[in-house]
Amino acid sequence: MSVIRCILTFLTLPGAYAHAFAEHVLLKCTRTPVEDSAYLQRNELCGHVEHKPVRSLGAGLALCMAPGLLAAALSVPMLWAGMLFLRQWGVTLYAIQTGGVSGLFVVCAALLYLAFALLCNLFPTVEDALFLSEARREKSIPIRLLTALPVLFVRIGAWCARWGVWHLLCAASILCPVLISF
Amino acid sequence: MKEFEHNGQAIPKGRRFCTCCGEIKRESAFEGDSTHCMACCEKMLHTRVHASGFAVSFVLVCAAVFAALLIPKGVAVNRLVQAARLQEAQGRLYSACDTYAAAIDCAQTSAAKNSAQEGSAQADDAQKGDSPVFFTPGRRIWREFGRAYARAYTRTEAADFAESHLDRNLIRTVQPFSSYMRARSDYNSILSQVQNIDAEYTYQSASDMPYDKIADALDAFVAKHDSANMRGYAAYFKASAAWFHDPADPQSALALYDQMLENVPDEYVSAYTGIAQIGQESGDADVLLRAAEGILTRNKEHAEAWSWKVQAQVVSGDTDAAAKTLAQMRKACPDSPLCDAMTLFLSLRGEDVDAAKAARDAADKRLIPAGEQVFNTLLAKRALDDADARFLRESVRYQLYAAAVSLLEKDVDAALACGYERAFNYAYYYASITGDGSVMTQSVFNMAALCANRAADEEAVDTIAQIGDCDSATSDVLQGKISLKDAFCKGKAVIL
Repeated sequence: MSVIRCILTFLTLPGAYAHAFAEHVLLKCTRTPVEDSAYLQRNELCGHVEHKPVRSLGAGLALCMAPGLLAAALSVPMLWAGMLFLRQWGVTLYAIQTGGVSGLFVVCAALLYLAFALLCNLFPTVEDALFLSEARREKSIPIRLLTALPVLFVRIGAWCARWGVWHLLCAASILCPVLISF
Repeated sequence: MKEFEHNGQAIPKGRRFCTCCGEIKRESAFEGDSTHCMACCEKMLHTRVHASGFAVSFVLVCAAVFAALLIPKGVAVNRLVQAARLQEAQGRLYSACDTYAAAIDCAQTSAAKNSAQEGSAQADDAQKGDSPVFFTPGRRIWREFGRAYARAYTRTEAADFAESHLDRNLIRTVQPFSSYMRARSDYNSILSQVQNIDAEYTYQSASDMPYDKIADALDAFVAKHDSANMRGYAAYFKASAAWFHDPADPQSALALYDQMLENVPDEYVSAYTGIAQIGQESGDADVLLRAAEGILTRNKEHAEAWSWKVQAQVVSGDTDAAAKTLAQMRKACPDSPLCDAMTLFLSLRGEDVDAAKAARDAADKRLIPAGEQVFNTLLAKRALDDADARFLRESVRYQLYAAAVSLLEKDVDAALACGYERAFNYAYYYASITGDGSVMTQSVFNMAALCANRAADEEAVDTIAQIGDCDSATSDVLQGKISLKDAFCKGKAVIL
């Protein structure tokens, strides 16, 4: 499992690194002690930062959701531009006008890869998601109701990311529309 | 490791002494019962935020911003493409082609624009891509443009267009261009067969033409290289030859055109143009109407097809329907000189020469300067874009009708200016520069000869005679057997 996780993380290195960095910064902001700041390890924590359990529900939510939201926000323009040119314009590696390599294709492919890398690393570790659930249980019913959906989303996402299901979904949703257009 | 000891000074409530850095800090700076503050813990455990993380984040933010900057251009082009698709769906094929061309221009940033402004060879380079252009429209846009172009014109013209704008090697592997190239190759094979057979014979008149030999040879060739394209194009050439050979038998030519439409339905423009020629020359309104409808169901902006419809309705005596069709034509292709030509035609057929004169005077203000401008562009650049080429071809038709009005007014100088100096010259130079001889119709020779004779311009008469002859109907008018009014207003001689 950790091998799969490592491979997937290294395949999506820019996103994993950015996610780990954002997690690290948030851990600093929430004053959560970091145990190992290595972003890329050959274990389950590859692409994450090893830390002590978060102190509060708010900090837990921030830690589990903020890096993902930031990554999603960054990936939107890249995804849009990439899809626009590769799918709508039908730009290919060899430009039909010149027969040479299309710079626009290279740029758009790079943008789509970065968007893919960011999207694959939206979710925290399963342990963090479980800590978040635990922190939520101690709260009052209105807060629990309010946070039910985000926590559920994070838990499902974390589980999917752990088993590579999320990566497959991302790859399919990006590659299929582009490939269909050719 | 050096450890500080507290000097006994009182520590305020809610604060703690760090034995690592020797400072008194808030409780929140410590974790649990630790005597080291978290900053010191980070230093000891090397858990500080990595600078590389900032670099990666910076790169990602830059990439996102760059992507965001690319989006407006992509969206602008996409809007144009969508507008073109809509126009294509509405049967406005010429507009769709123009909009696709605008989308491609918009996509190619300033490189193409600058070079176009400079009017230098760089324009071609930017278009054909000898110089690298970052924003090159993708295959999808070019494919859609190619399909619209082939629908509006012909597949062979679409192949020529693709070859002049795109990479020659690449388009052979990309649909629909590869099929257009194949179609053009098949067309040229059939054409060369026809030319080979034609070169073997010399004949004085159309009836001497070895039609049977041409037909047999084409059938034998098609049997060897059987394909829908070959069958269709062979039928096209056989139909043209059949009509030329025996104008008394339009049915055999029409059957061949039907055969062509069955085999190569995409070449409907060529087929219906041939059918319309038969309709015009035989005076068969039904055939002309069929040709017009055949094109107008696919391309509502085909001004010539509208003009056939108007002519067919006038010939069949339904002038009210013709006036309605003219109104529809004005709506569908308002800038076409053929709208004005058909206005003149309707006025002449209504024997209202004054109305025709007024319509001509109004149209001349727009069409003469515009026609001259396009003609000068043709002479200067030795090429025209599709819209200008269409305008010039249609201007020729308008000038013929304007010449007819002038002849009826007995203003021979104005007639010579319209029928010879403009119509004939436009058609002649257009045909010789672009290689498209379809504009040099019999009507052009007829009207030019008529005007030159009436104006007694010997030089013009000689020039026209060197290139072609007027037909028997025009000769009758020239000899005074049929009056100009009978010819133009009553349709007793088909000159136009």
